[in-house]
Amino acid sequence: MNVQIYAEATDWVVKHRDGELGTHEKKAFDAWVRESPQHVRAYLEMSAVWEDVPSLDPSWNPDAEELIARARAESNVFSVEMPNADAPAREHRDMQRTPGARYFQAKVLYALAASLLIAFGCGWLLFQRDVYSTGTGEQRVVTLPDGSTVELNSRSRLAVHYSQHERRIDLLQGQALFRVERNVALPFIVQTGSTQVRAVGTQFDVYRKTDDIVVTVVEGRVAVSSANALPNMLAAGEQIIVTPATATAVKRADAAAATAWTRRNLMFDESPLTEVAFEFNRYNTRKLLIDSPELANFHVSGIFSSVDPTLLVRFLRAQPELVVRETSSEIHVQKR
Amino acid sequence: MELRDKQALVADLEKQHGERLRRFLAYRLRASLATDVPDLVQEVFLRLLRIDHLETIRSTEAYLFTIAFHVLHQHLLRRSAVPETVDISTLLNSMEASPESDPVLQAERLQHLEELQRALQELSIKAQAVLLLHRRDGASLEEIGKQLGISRAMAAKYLSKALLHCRQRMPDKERGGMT
Repeated sequence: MNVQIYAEATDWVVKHRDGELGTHEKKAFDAWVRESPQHVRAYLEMSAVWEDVPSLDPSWNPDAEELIARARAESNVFSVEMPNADAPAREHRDMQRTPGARYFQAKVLYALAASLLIAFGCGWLLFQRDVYSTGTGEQRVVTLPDGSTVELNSRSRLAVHYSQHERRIDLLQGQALFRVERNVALPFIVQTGSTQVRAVGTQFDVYRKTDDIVVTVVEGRVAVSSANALPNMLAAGEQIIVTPATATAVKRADAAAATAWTRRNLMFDESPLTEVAFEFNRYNTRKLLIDSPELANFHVSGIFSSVDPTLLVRFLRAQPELVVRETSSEIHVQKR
Repeated sequence: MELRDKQALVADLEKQHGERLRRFLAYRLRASLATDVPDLVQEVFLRLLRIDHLETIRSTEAYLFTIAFHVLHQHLLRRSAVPETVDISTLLNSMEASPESDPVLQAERLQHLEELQRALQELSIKAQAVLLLHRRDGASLEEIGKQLGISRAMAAKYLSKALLHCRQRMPDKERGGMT
């Protein structure tokens, strides 16, 4: 196997997957691949390796958190000779001279220029982005430029920033269910507070509560990272709660419950009455108020309509410990 | 067909099926490569040369994958009774589905992934981390750089290095292949 050819093929594969090539790059690649059947073969094979990596059994390798911790620990030990710390590097040619290295140097300059532009253009950009919001009790579906859709829950607001390199959404308030069109070249990133949810093609729900952020994956996989926690990988049916201080462990969750709101339902499983009121009030202008603090320990399970309070009120009235008093603008619940 | 139309068609094909095409090729190429490589690659190369420079430059990679797909498809046709259809997505569907129903292919695939895993474990933890965080966890090179305390360019180098090493450690199954 001609290592030189395979190294070149690898750099080209990485470049292609990293984003759109410039005109010169395209010409250079065209010339390279037309040079010989060995080039064609090396390119196809390296693309195959690229595609194979995500198919590895997840249980064979450490999770993101552990990988980062161990890689960091290693760099502390080898920091002086870091670029040569890899045994295989000795077998390779000098990476500095690859077209890839030059390309990435160019990219860094480009990124610098771009960040300057962004710094100056920021004020302008604030007005450029598309912002979608919903009022109390309102829900809407927004179709994004790439065909992905966002279902926006009641009292929610988000801003869409699509660029050539990524699809970014800022969830400014509330909750949304994202159905992401698969596109590995363009990561789909939902930013909410200091937490970032990243996906390629999947379905997931992000709920920005008062302090916490709840991410639930319906389909596929996403990576959740935040300022105060290492990235976590979530698979379908898993949920993570990021609090201002930390992030909980990833746990199994009922995706149907997390997305019940899209069917205009509220699903509670042993939820405290305060939580029920909080959720209910997201959808209704007629507020549910808990007058007795000791009711915090009263738990509710069941499915209720998020838009029609009748069922929930009837359920509360049926509880012997509770007294329900309704006015035109409020529903009061007290301990009997 | 006009040159512009042809380019648009290939670009469109790549946009719609690019990733599936690549995955399909990753899946099937190896199995076929094992026995018929030099012929198949030669055929892909010759067909690529038959296309004008001007035409390919805009999207050489898309042309390459499309041609490889067609060559591989014809090759598989000769060995099986799959009816010839023109719709690439139908083809991809039927072909993507087949490895699961073919125990031999499935066993080969598992063996291949185990080899890949062994190669991966020979890498430094940093190279492993970059490859897995990028390909498995979907983290960007910028993000990985930030997490590992290295530059984006360095992260890209680790990525290339890791991929190349994985390929180098794969046993070449065909006899008399390239050296």
